[in-house]
Amino acid sequence: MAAELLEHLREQFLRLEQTSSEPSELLQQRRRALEALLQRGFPTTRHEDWKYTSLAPVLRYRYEVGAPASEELPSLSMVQGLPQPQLWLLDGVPHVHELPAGVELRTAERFALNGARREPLPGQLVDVEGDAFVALNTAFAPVPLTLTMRESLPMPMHIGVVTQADAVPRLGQPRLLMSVASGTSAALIFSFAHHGANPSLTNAVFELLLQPNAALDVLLWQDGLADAFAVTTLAARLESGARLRVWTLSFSGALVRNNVYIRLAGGAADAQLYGVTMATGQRLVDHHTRVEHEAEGCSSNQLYKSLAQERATVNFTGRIYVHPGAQRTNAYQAHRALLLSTQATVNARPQLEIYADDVRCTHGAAVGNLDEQALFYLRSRGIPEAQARKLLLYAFVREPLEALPSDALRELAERSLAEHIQLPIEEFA
Amino acid sequence: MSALLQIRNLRVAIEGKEILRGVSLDVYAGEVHAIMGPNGSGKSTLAAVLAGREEYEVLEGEVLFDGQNLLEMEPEERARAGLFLAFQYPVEIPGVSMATFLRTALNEVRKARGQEPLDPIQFLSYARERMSWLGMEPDFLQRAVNEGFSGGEKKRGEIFQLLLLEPRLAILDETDSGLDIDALKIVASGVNRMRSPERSFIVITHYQRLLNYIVPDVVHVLFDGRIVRTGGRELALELEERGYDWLRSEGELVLPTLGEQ
Repeated sequence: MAAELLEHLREQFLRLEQTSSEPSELLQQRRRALEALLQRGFPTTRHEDWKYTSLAPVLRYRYEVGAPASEELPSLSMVQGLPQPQLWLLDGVPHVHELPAGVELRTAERFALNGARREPLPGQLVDVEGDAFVALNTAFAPVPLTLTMRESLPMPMHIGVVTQADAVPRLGQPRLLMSVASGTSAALIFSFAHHGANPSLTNAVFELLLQPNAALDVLLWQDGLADAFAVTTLAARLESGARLRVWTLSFSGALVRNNVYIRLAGGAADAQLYGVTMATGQRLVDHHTRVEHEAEGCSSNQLYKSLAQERATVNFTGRIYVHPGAQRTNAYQAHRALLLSTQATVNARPQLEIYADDVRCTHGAAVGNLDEQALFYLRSRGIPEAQARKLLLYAFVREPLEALPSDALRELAERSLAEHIQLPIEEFA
Repeated sequence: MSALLQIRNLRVAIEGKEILRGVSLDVYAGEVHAIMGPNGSGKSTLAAVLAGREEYEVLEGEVLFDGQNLLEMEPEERARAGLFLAFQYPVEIPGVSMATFLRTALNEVRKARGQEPLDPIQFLSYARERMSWLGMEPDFLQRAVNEGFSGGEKKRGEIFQLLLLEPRLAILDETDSGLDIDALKIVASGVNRMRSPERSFIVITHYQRLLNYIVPDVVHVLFDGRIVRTGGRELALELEERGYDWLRSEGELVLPTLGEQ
């Protein structure tokens, strides 16, 4: 299956390459990525990083990778209550609605321009050739983009990531290198959606450069993926004093892999990773984090909470890597899950590698059941059992949302979560 | 008229050990019954079984609440029928606000009574009025259910729920334990405010002290899983003076007695 898909990708690449007008530097990078992918193939469960996640269901389809036939924006309802996206990434192709002041969006051609404004080539924060999905994205992403935030954004910027599989199975590959200027702050909301009756795979690669003292909040809001597949790789490098918070809200998608890779490269940088996962049916959600402490006095925290119901699987692999010399490191990590059916599965793997001695580092992974005492307490006040259960699930899993940057955003996220738990919304007004 | 609550020869075990060994009790509308007894006598088991805890096994007997077979009802059905238990150890539920919890509960109970649900604004004014009766802090409703509450706050919270839900029968399970005298008076004033000819109370306590403030109509002594004495409030005073040891000597000889209605 994987071999057929790889051959299909190779043929498509040759066709695209012939008609491409991209700068040679980019084309060469694409070709190297493709060759690496063809040579190594997609990972199997024999790979340690994919031990509990079989890609077999994803690799069954011959995805179309070219730009979509239609340039028109489909009528899509993204996350309810959120303003419509200011930027759409439709199958990886940007459609600008309205960019906030201080935000610049440029396409790949600019990367290769010689001169003072030469931009960094995408791929510095990810393993272009060693990671199959980064290689896939690098080889085919239709329009690699740079998004530069030169001023602080007063409101979160909403970016709609949509893969359209109306006529054929589609591979949607957004590629974004984002840079947040020194001393500024911003929030970005990426909402993910699938459109159409055919299967789709969204394979997004987001690279983030946070200049000194920049502050960024990122929400990966996986609300509209339905039964589609998604692999997201978010890789960030933080300079001194920079602060990054990432929320991964995984409420949809048949198989979803979320990689969050953080490098704390400058002193006193801080990264907070949060995850809320709601897995029902036969969904598989796999969170992979890697936080590297490279400089002194940095702090990081990871709090992931998950519900695994019915026949669903939730995997969490969280690595904290403290480099030699990264003294006065504070690093925490916790994944807590409720396992709500005998056929559901939770795999949690904390991985700590510490090569400095002045380090405070803790991790915890807990899998439990619903608190029967709490359930009885709610029922004893007249709340029906089914509703009491949902209320407790909601209460358990919502904790990472508490830190969201605004009340409005938190309420939206809570509503979205409540909807997926099928808890009546009016209880929360 | 038949009693609001009728307990007939109730025998209950947990993990194979018989805790209640034939309890019979009638509580009529408007009455306040105190159930006293030493630790381990079965007081809290009685409360738990009435509220519907599932880990207890009913070996024999029946309980009628307003003519319905209480033991066949789910805990939430009991609550909607008007039964309320003030927990000895209220449960902490992080992530659920008191407001969400109580509005959901109140609207379920109102629905069962054929009343319209309250919207958030109506709920707030209804709740705030009752909070003021107990001198509660305004931020109470925003806090997570019992999370980080002091012992006194938890007990006050239970009485507040009683005021909110207006049950027909309230069971207070050692609501006085861990309370100082000021908190005790506040709790008692809340209960007394709710006394009415339609509402009954079962006050479970180890000590007489609470009964100075919530004056019972009937006092029962539960001992080793049976009611061994029933009397007026003077029985509580006698227990205060003599302790429970004098019952121990006669315990096996005293037959269960019913309320004197």
